[in-house]
Amino acid sequence: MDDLELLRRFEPIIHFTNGEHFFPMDVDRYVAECSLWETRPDQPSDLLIPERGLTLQKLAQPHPAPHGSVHYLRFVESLSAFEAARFLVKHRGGFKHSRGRLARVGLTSRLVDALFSITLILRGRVPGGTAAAARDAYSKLQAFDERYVYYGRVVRQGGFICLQYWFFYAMNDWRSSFHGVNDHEADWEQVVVYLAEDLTPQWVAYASHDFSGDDLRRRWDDREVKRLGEHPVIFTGAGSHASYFSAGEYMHEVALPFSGPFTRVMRVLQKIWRSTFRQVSVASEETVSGALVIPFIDYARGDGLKIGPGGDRQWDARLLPDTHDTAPDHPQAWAHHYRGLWGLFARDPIAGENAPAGPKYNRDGSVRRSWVDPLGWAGLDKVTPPSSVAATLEEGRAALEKRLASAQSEIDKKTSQLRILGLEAESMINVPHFESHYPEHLQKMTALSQSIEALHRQTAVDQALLESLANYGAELMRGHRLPVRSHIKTAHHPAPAGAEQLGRLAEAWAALSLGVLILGFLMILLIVPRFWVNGLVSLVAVISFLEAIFRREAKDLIRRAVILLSLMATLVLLVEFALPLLVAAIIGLGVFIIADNLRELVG
Amino acid sequence: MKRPRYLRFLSLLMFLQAAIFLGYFYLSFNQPTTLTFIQIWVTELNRGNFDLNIPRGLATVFFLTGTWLGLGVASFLIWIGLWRVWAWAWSAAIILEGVVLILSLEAYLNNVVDWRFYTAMVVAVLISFLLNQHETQILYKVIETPVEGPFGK
Repeated sequence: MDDLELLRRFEPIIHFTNGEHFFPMDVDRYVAECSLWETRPDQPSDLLIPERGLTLQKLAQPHPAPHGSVHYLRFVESLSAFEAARFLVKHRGGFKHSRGRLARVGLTSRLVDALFSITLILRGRVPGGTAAAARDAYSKLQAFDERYVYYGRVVRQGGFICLQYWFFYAMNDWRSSFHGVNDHEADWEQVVVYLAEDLTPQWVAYASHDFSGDDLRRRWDDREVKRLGEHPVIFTGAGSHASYFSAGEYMHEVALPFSGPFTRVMRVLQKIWRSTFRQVSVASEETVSGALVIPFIDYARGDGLKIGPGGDRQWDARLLPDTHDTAPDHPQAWAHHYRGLWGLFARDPIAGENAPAGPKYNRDGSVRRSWVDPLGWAGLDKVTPPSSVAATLEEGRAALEKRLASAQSEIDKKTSQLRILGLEAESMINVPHFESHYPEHLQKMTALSQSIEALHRQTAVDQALLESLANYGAELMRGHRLPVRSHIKTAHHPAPAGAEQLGRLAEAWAALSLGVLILGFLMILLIVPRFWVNGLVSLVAVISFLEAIFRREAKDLIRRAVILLSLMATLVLLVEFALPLLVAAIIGLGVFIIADNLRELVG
Repeated sequence: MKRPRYLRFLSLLMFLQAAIFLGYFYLSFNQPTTLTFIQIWVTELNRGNFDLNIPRGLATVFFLTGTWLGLGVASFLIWIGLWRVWAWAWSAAIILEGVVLILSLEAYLNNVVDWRFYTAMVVAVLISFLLNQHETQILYKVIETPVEGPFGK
């Protein structure tokens, strides 16, 4: 079976969300519509090849430029606000938002969301009207020749056969069309199916936002992996094109760049609060995962177009060559030779609005890990393929036995040295002129003794490991495998249905609350500036209470408020009664020690 | 029904709180000044003076003693509810502790705090943290017992 046949045998079925505007397409037609640009550091962009003059072969040619330069494609010129509005009115329909994302989260996240929107004004961004222009251009291309394309690549690595499926979209319009995080021209997404050498599927991994390593992949027999025969079913986020294992609406949190340390401290405190004190969390769920995160919804409903075997449309598969020495005139040479961006370079310093580079490269021109190491990308580099389990076990056992033998020999050697040192030390006792050498000698003996002890400890661990490996090996040979999801640290699940059932009033309140807070605070500053602190606290309290009522969480709000009051009261008590508390603690300690000793004496 | 240890401790604290507040009520009410105020008022009423001219100071005394009495009775009723593991008792208890803590902290911030408020504060803090425990909330059906999702983690 050749590579293309292999790819076709396991090709995925993608379920899109109703209202999606862009579908996987071929790069030929896209590039033909694009112009190629070059931006040198601190200089305006230069047009290298105008639109309709660019081909994939030209794209694959080298484009020398100084360090810090960026090459990028430009698919469309953005429409004016009026043109974009007219386009959107004309092409309305399809997608229906569920309850607003802001209604699903608290006031803190809304405040951070507002700050994030402000940063978009300050950062480089894809101009408004670009998504509409791209939709127009893409729909014209599809109307002329409807095609749904994936680019496949077969990598044989570490006993696995990795079937890598790359999907190219003309635009990611998540922000402008679905209230998501970002927009960018061009979008590359990937899905990998991992086969054993006998062609039985073992794992699948879907690219999804910031997930990486073990969390990306699922075992083929995991119930979460939907399949139609040998074809995995993927649910793709509207606009974002991130891939999910189940249909639904996913809350996706974006952390502000500077929020890391704060979030980490919060998580540690939360853990102590929950695990050590067995307390129910004081902070709401979005605060638990970090107060400085912005919630976005990724709509992967799967109720739209289905592409792939058994779906509404079928794939047009293209094979990507796997070697870098591909001749520049090869139809897919662009994959190796073009390191630039596949769409507008928006000059966004945190890169979210800049177009991605191709399947092989990162935005900075370095090679993507998923390209060069598809196993490591999904955390499979540490997983032994079924065909090699016996050999790897044997290899591991042999290495351990060798290490044990070597350690034993080292122990024997050092023990012998220590005994000699011991006899020497004994001979120094009662010999006056060894007074200055004796302590040094003792130090040598201590160091050697410690080193022997460390070797013994390591030997004990290695022996236990050898035994454990033998037991596990026997289980593996009997066909036993670890639980299907034991490798997953953080799994992404769709938002529960309850989260979608907030009322319209709650949604309206979510949209208004932050503005009401700001205007209310302004009024307080203007009318009673002396009481601005009390005023602000009262305002936040009233808004929080209204918020809790709309979200049907009044009871929880009262609980949280009471716990905060308890913490304040604890602080007051600690400050006021520090000395008596210290005395009480010492008395308690004394009583405990006496009781413990008495128990020993009696028992 | 064998009650878990934390529930017995919680109930004991709530009973203690009821006893403390009723004790405060008795002490406040039984003071000579309070009794004198009441005697004056009753005398006025007997004279047929029903214009509800409450003597100066009596309103404050009534408020304070009334508060202790109210808190004491509420604590007692909630103690019964907690001991019988009635679901409403948890909600009532958390609201009651909120009121006690607000009164205590307000007294502290206004510098009128005394040993009675500190004692109330200590008991209220302990009860609040016990009410906020996972086990307690599961017992009173405030939160559900965590169950593993369809896909485990």
